[in-house]
Amino acid sequence: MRRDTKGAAPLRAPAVGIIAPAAVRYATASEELRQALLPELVAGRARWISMDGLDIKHTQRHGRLLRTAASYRPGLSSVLGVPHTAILDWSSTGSTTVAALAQFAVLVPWLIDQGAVVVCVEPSNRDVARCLEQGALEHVLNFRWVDNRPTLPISRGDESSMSLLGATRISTLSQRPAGAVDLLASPLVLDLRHSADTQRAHKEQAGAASALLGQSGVSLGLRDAVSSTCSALFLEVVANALTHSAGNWASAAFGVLNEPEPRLEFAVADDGIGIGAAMSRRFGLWGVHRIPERAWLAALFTDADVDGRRGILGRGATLLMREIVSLAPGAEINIRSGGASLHLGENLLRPGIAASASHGLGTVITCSVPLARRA
Amino acid sequence: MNTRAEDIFAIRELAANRTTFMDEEDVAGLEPKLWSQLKQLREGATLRVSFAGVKMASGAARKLLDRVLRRIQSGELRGRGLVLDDLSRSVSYNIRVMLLSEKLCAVARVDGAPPTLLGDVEEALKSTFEFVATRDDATARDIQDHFKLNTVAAATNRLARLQRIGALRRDGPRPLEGGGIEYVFQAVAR
Repeated sequence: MRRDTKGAAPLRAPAVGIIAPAAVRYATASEELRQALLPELVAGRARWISMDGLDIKHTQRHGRLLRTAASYRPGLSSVLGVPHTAILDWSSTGSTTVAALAQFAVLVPWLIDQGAVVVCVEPSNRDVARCLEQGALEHVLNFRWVDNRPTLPISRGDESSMSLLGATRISTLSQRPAGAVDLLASPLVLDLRHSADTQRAHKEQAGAASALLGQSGVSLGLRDAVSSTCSALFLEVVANALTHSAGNWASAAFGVLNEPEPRLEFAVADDGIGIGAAMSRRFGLWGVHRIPERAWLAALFTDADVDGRRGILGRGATLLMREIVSLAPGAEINIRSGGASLHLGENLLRPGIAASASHGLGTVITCSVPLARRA
Repeated sequence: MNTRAEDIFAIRELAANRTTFMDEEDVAGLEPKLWSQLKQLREGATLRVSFAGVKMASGAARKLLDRVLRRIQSGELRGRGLVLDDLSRSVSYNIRVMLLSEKLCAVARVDGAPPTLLGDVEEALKSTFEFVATRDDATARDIQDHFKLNTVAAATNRLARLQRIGALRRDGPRPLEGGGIEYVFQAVAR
């Protein structure tokens, strides 16, 4: 069954849409589309990007997305005025995470900025669709939605009528066997390039989202202190992305992660220069830009002496991260910046194994706090 | 002396109903206003900085409060006090991490609770302040009795340190029966 919720106007570039030919069944839509686009793919006018790296089963591979984005180069066609097409294939991705959705919300406008037409194929996960439909992307992009399945996309009207209590109730705490993540609000998509007015509007949105996150935490049974610290950390991390990332796009999302056990999770992603380079810019430590990103990340949490300047690190967000893992047993913080990553948990600080420690490629910060399972 | 007279510095109103402050730029215009209002305060009065309806990240809090608190704690604003009021829990966390990293502390009311000290401060000083804030005033002997300290000098030391950081103001001296003098301390907010 074909469902067209946004009218049938032809796709115009730049645009993002979810398409599947009417005659193609859902199960085979992806493969048939690939076959149909084979000449374009062979000619280099389109690029097929599998999103299975964002599957919840492959969280260790999530960093690949940003590397894919950083390596994305539209073909000659875009230079000649013919839009290059980036096809984001969700067909083999079952469930995903909040962090993955935040990265996705950064990736799409990033690709558009590169002159690409973005086509999302088979976003079977409801929140992926929601990310596209309601994540403010339709305001910044020429958005069009064509879905081929009789699903129940959440319209903006439904969203506005959904109370916080309702959003909480539909979460997995009621044992609903839904996708892995239930976003508690539409993801914020922050355009970092625009005017002071735009920035101000983004900040107000982030402030409201921070408050909603705090209230959600309490509704979901978190202690006041944990919930308030999460809310405070969310604001700090968004502030860092807005102020220090030097990127074009950032995204913030929060929701309930259902598998393998209920957790409140929020994530902030950006396509900026990375923590190491941002710290160098901020503190004028130009000489330390060669220090690997993973050394910066470790230094943030170990009070290490970097370039003889002790005490400049960990002034805001990192203190709150430490507090969350000490306040909430089982809480986890993951930071991925450039080619490096760091995991912070209870009595645990584990720098990730990075294939290469490079600056840039953006930053993704995820905080996850366990929720008590209700009957 | 009109004790605990409070003027209000309402951030939201002064920032044209803006509610979220993320970075230094957002509060750049507020810091001079705050300093100016503090200087105009008469001696013995307290300026209540109201965070009602406001979300603030640590970067903005640093810009707004860092210099002001340092100048208060250097004794530049003799007898005048500052209290951070109407703080929600989450904003108090953002401000606290700023104060911790800058090794500062401030008097604050969080979630409508009685005033406390926020930031980089010893537990003994914090509890002493909270005790003084429950009373009209307190002397070193009151502190010694309440906390069962061995010497009155230890109590005096606590009060003097709280005065230096701008949490208490000192009145007196007044003569003691049997000779000697004593100072009376009042919390800048209660």
